[in-house]
Amino acid sequence: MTERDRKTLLQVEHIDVSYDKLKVIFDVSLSIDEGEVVVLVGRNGAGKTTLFRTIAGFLKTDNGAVRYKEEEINQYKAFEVAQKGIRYIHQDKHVFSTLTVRENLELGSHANRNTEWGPVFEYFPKIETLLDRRAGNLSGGERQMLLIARALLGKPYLILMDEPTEGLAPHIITDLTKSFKKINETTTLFIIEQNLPLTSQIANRVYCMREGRIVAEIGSVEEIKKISFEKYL
Amino acid sequence: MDLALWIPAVIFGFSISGIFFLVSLGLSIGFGLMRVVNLEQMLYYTISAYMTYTMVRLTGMFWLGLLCGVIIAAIVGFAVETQLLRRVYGRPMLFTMVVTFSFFLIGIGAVQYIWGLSPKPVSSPIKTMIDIFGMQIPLYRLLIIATAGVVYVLIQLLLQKTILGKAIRAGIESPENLEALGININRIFTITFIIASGCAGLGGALNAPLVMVGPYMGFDMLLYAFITVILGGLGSIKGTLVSALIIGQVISLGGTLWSPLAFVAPFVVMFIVILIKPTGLYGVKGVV
Amino acid sequence: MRNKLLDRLGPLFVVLAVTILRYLFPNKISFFTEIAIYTIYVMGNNMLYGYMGLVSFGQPFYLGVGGYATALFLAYVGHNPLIALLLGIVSGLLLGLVLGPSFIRLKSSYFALINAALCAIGVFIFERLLIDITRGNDGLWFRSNMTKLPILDIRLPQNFFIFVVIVLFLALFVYRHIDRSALGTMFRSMQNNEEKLRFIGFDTFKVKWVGFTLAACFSTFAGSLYAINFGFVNPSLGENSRAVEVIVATLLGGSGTVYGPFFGAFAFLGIKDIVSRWITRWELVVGILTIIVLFRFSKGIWGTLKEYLLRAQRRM
Repeated sequence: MTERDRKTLLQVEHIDVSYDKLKVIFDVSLSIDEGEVVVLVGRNGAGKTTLFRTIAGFLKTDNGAVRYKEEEINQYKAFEVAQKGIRYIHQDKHVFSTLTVRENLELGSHANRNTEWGPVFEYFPKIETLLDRRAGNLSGGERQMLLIARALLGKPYLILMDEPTEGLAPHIITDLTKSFKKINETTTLFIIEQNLPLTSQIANRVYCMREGRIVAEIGSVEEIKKISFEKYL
Repeated sequence: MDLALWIPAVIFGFSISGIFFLVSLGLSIGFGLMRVVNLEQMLYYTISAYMTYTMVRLTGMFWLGLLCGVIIAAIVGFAVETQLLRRVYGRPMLFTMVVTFSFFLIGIGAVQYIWGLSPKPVSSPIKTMIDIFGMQIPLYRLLIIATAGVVYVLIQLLLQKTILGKAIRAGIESPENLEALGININRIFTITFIIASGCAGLGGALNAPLVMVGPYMGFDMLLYAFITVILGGLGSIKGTLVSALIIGQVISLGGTLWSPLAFVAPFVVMFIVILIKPTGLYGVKGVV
Repeated sequence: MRNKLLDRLGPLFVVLAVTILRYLFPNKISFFTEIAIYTIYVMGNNMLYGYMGLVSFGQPFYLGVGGYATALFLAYVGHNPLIALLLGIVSGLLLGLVLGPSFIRLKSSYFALINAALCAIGVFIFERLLIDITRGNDGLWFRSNMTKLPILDIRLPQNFFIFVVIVLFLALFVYRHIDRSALGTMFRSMQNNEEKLRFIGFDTFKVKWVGFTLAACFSTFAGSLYAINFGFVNPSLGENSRAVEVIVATLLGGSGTVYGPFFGAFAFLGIKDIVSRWITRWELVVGILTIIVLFRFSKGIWGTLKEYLLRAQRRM
């Protein structure tokens, strides 16, 4: 990835988030530049998913700001945020199981009326063979591909992926990693990952989260490859 | 086995099924998609019946009355969804049940205020009888069966072939995932609700000539709608249809055997079904 | 300090209040009698809703069962009203023991509905199935069969009032005791986090069963009292259409509290009494009332009062 003059795409400034009066995110700030692959690591319960859900608009901040392309977006509903170009792939990895793969994709491309599915099939050729399969009958790897394809059809600027490699077999993870790199050519990626070796392979930058706070930011690829993350978790 | 008794009873049962299906759709979809048990659903049924009565009094045209009834029911449904239900999405189920039921009561009060307490007769638009296997069957009842059938087909077409329908099916599984794709979930909810309340209205208008159009007509129907939806499984259209068919026959055939059974048999069925399989015949998974 | 005294004498205060009011308004004696009985009915529903978080759309069923148990006894078997009342409680006990295990397994909406179904079935039983002994819609009269009790002839309204007030006192006492006991704590913990309670080792199934049975007993007992009050029962006692009224009264008074039922009963019957003089469309008022209470007033009368009292105490 060449260094280039990157614009800031997403800026999170000093946000607190609570679930029903229980604060779970404390004074979190971070920024994502266009074209990056940023990874968020942390133990279970550190608040990573909550952070993503907040950025995607499913949760409202108590204070602070979430700026996307300079615009404060936390006031918007989740579907409006998605329409603006941020696609969140849910942690529950839910594909609409009673619908076919094709119908899932139709829903993914509905918001922006995108009829060009070609590029997405280039990333995931296998999907094109599965179009009439019921989504509930897909394997784990196929399901993840569908989730990303569905999100990509919205031509987003930023995709938030919540533990995309969880539960997948190693060779599928390898394929997926290659896809991430290709997708990154046109789309910024912000990924939650527990798989630390994978993180060192794909990330430009890494944020470490613990108990609702960002405790470290590792800014360069060299550092990422050298560092042992455990101390930040 | 006296065919003379049973054939009309079966057809009669199907016509009851037709009404139950129309009226219960809203409850079933409302639950499947929006996770609300909206007990005010029968208000649309009631209002439409009254509207039909008024239009018949004014113009003498039943079908115009039915149209008005359905439209008004859909409008009221729209108002309720956007003003009331939006405030209670996500709240505990019981809260919603009590709120919607209270609203139902308020609606009944309004109906009483506008139309008064006494029952209003609506005469059947078609009085012809058809000869089937030597028995005289009211054509109107067959019409009801046909209408319900057409509605079922239309709804299935909507759900399977249109993008709205696919969004509804997806929303029944996971509203958040649908929203994450940039689809305006509020609009989906509202449109679905309009369809549901319209169907309840259609049921009300169709049923007006057959039952007493009175302020409390919705109460009895509410219980039956519930039985239909519980038996069929909340959230399943097919389930609602199948269970409406079953309950219709239980009421009709049971009533032919011993008339009090017509009232109580469905409750016994619901009682047993809830105990054995609370999610019903085709219940949507993971749903209360 | 002061609070403890108030605390201990709570039931006494309630009962005194009702008694004083009854003497202040002698022509409303039946109204106050009904308040006392209705309080017990609401206490039953409060146990389900306030303590266990279960909504039932069929509480009138239990009223009906209690009422008919008492009525049938006095009409055909014996003459002692006390035994008849006891039978009312026993009928609740039986219902709770028999229906409990299947009912409490159900999730909330199904619980509400199965009770509604039960209620409709109950009406059928009283109105049709057992019409030979219940006389169906004509109703069952038995006042002439009751005998005088040793101290109090409760066949007379004035005396029945005194009797009911004493009963209310005892009921409040028992209710308060349950609230303060380990059982009450378990109810509250269960609403909070049932799984945790189970992990600690408590059998939440049994707790729910006990709660359900207690609720049934209170409700059937109220039904019995109604029966003796009127000297007469008919199926309308157990009708579905009044199912939501007791829920409104529970919410109005303050669910999950000891004295909430009393305030709820008082407020509900009071409002009904006043409003029905001017408006025949009673349902409208019930509906509006419920929505107001649910949205703005969720603690109910007693709940809100308690908060004020606590705040006032802290300032002292």
